[in-house]
Amino acid sequence: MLFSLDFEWLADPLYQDWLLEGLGTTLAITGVGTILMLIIGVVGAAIIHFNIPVAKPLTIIMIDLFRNTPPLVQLLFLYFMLSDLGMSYTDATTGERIPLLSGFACVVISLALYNGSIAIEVIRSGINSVPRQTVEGGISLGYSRAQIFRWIELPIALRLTIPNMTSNVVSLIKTSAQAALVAVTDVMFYATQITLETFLNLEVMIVLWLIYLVITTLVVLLAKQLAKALTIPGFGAGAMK
Amino acid sequence: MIMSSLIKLSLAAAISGIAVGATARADQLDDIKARGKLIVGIKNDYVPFGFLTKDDQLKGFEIDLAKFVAGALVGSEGDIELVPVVASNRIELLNAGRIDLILATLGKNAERAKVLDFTEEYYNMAGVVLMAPKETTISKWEDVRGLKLCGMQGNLYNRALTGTYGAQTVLFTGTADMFKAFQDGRCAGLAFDGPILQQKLSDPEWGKKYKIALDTFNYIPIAGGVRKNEPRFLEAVNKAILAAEAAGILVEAEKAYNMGETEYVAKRAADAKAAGY
Amino acid sequence: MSKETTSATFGFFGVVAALLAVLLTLYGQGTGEALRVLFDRSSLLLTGSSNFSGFGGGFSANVIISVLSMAIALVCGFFLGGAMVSPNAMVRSVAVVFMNLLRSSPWLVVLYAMLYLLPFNVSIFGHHIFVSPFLKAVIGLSFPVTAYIAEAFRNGIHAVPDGQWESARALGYRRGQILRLIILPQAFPLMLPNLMTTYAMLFIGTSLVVVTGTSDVLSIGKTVIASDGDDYAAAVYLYILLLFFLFAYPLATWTRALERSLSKGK
Repeated sequence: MLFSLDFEWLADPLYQDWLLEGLGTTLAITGVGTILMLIIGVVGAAIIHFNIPVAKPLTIIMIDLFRNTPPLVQLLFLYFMLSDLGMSYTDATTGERIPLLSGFACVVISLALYNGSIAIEVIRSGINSVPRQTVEGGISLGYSRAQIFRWIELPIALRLTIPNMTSNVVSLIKTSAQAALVAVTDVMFYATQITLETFLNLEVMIVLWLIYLVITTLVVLLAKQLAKALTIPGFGAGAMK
Repeated sequence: MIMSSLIKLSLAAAISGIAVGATARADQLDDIKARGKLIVGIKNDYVPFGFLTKDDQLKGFEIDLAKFVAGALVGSEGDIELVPVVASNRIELLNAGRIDLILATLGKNAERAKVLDFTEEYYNMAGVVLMAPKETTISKWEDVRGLKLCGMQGNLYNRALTGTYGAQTVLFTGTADMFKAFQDGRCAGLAFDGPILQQKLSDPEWGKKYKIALDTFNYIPIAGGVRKNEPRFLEAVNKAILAAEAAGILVEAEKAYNMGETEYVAKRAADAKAAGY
Repeated sequence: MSKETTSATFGFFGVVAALLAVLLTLYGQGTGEALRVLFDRSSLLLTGSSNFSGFGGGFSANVIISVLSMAIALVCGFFLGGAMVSPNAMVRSVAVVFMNLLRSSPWLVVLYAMLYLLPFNVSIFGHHIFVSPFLKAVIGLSFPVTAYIAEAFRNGIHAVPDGQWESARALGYRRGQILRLIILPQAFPLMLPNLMTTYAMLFIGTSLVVVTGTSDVLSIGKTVIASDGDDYAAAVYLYILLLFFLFAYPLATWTRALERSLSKGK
């Protein structure tokens, strides 16, 4: 069975185009998703850290909801329901109501929210592991609480949490494959299309698997370089093992 | 990377090793009789061909046919397991042995004939039609160039929509998702099987807003599908389908599910009766 | 009430209230009708059969799949994790590469791959075993989870002081005995929160089995939407979100409590 695998379809220029186009979409989704996810992580962690009224309980509810429900159902809900909630606009030429958020935007937002909720907790745990003395040092230098957060706690926390944040990014990349289920043409979607035309399911899935593996491996290697470059002399190395 | 792909290949080899030992089976018809039930892949989100009623029962044109075939092959209409399938997985499920027979609006064509055997055909489906809002400006298939059309994965006419007519397809895996996305205004039109869309328009809410803007550019004969190289089973199924037609099962089903009484189904019923089934 | 209990209670009711608020905003006057549809279809969504006459479909399928996958992954993860701390450098590096490979695979791709890789019929000693999509989903999900468990296992072993190994060796125990009788009993409580988090992740991941043709809660939800009309799509998805939350949140709270008592014990 293994030796009768047929990879000739890979030579078909149409399928090559499909895979490349899909790969582009996947990279775009994960790139934008990661940036948004980090923003949500930092802002959310700050909201909780500074105990901001109203925003803090809402952030906690958001974390509890997104971390304890399937990202796929979250995505389906965003994709199908946001327009029901009034998130739509009227096309000037045809006069029709059109959802404000494209499938692509829904996927990016859903990933940013799901992995962002994880990011908030990762950054918070990083902040908690900043040594007390370092913070006290900042206080004695006359820093305000905001300054301590901005210049001491957050930078150290972000460096300390590079390994955990890396697995969060990898999780985001893996989760992005569900974009295909709301008709967004990522690499998973095109792979499914190819299987429907060629009936070579196993072969296509093996190639797809390898594609994701290459992407995640590159991200992990990149993060390792970053961690090395940002090592704080004398401490934090233990967290990067 | 070379290391990891080697490991992956050896993993695949280990697993496929199990697969090799999995064949060598007796005749399928005997298997089914010994098992005491026929396993049929049907649709369950596809009014009027196969759908779930308010009291959680499966009903529809193809469900009635499936029950009749089970009755003819195994003994009674109850000797059946109905497995919900979708266009994108029904052929795998068949060829992998999960189901014995596909009765799930499977259109006949040459590509599919390479991977499965078709049974007698039992319906002539208006292929793809285009549903659009009543005020649409689309008046011929050429007008869809560059427009977003909602549709379903696994339908062969999708290729014609993007290739010949230059539309942008937005493809889903289930009808629920597809209808909802179209209703939300994610596409300029909905390109899908004629009878399903016709049926959908009988819903007053849909009938108010939408119309069939374009008729089909092709009619597709619908047939069952069985695994290749099972001649005895294929013949038995064919006989059962002809008997169902002769007994008027399908004529009745068309009436019962408001599908309109087509000449095609009536003629096949008369022919089957004349041939003595 | 302790601070932790208060915050857990707040999270619980906060999320339930948030979901209800969305339902009310979406349906307004029609909320009652939407709730009636959900009530009528509850049996189907929860058990996969009408009037609670059966079991093994719908949400119960998600629970069963998660438990079976976890069981398989625990056994496989135990061996893989053991290989990752093997004294043999070759075995160790192969195991680590294999673990990383499994861990970086998207679950959806693994599920699809399993769907096609595994046959539908296996004969073992003349018995035909039918490999249903359900079973494939179980096996498919257990692959990536095995990697997480192996890692948790390795970290747990590393957390036990080396002195334990040395003194056990001095007493004449063999490697396997030390691992089983001395290291594991100490490592297991340390691993437990990690294992529970992994299980929660797996449970949430069972929503993906919708692609394998299993009648899990999401597949049934889609069928219900197809039959009852798109108007109730929002209600059905909210209901499914709520079901997952009701199961996963207490688990997460419990895990946090365990973690706290562990760190206190240190």
